[in-house]
Amino acid sequence: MPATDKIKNITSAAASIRQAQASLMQASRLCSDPVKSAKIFAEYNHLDSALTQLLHTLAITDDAAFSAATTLLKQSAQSFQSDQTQLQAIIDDAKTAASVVSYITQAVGFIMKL
Amino acid sequence: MRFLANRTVLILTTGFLTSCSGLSQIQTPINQFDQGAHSVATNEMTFLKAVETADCNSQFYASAHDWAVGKGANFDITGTCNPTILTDQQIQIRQQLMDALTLYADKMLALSSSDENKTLDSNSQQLATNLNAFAKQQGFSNLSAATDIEAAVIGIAEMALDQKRFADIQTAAKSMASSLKLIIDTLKTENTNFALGVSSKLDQTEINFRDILMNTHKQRGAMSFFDVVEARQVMQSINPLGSSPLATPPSSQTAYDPSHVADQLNSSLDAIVKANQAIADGSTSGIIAAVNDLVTRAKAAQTDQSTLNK
Repeated sequence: MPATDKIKNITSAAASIRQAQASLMQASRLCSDPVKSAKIFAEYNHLDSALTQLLHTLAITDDAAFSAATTLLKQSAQSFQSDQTQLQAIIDDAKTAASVVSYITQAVGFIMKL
Repeated sequence: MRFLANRTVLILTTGFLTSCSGLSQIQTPINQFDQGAHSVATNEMTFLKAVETADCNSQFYASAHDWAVGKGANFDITGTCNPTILTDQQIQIRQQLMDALTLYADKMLALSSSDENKTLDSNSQQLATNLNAFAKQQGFSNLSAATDIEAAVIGIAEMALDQKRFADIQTAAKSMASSLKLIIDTLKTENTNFALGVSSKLDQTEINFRDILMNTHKQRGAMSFFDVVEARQVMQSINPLGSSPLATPPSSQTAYDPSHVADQLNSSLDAIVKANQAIADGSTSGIIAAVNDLVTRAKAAQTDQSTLNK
């Protein structure tokens, strides 16, 4: 069974990912370039997968299964680091890009604590 | 002197909750407590089903998108889906948690009656027996805090079946307070997180549509006006928590926000705990106020959901 602090970290990571998605959503609404739009969609999907994974992990009580799930989450989180440069290239508004990156960094921090 | 006065009030209040004449007066708010708990349970299950629907809707549109842009080998118009956030089995487990809450409220109603027989009807007794068995077989093992939840459900099921230990509602409310709170806190944490999942799926579909619309605009020019209108019509009905008008000011859009719906649901769940605490405290006026709050919150959540689903 995940300890309370781990549940808190999962919940905080999920909230940060959702904030990153909301900023990405704003960027998508302002974007009129089909190529960039497709890339934003791909980044969003990446975040959605991570969020779904987090929600699943929240429900796991078996220690071994929880440990396996968090290992996978940490691997996914590492791939977010490389996404950050990509995000700054596809989001025109620097402030929005910085906001997405900041929320992702927060989420990665919570996931790495698991 | 003041101590004596307080003591007198305490004795009178306790006597009120347990005496025959008191029972008939307390039965009305306990009946409302029972109805409120049932309404909250119904709202909770509607919400959980909506989580699964949002997930499935999103999967359908994602699959159609992938095929349309050449990423998927084929398309599927059957609408079958494998839920990724909450499966049917997981929803069923949460149904058992809601059964535990309503069973508890039913038993409280039975205890508050002036009848000699305070046992539940045979259907409720069977439900309690099944819940007890399910919890003892570790049926809640995929919930966070599973061991504690199982103990809480076993406690409630045994209380529902009990014929001797709980003679009055105040003792029962005190004994079950921690079990009730644990179940409700677990559901609240889940609701908050599931709402994030629903929002993620809804926005995913919007981004998906935007991506396709940009492509169709390149090919169809001005005619893509109708593609935008059609996409909006789909978006209006895609939120399983409620369909939205063609266009609304931002201030009206919070009603369709999954986090707002989850917050409302959570406040009605909290109201069950507070009403139970008021029963445990034994003040009739406190019980009436807390039960009224529960009924109001449950009705508000129910009205919102039924209005949104029209």
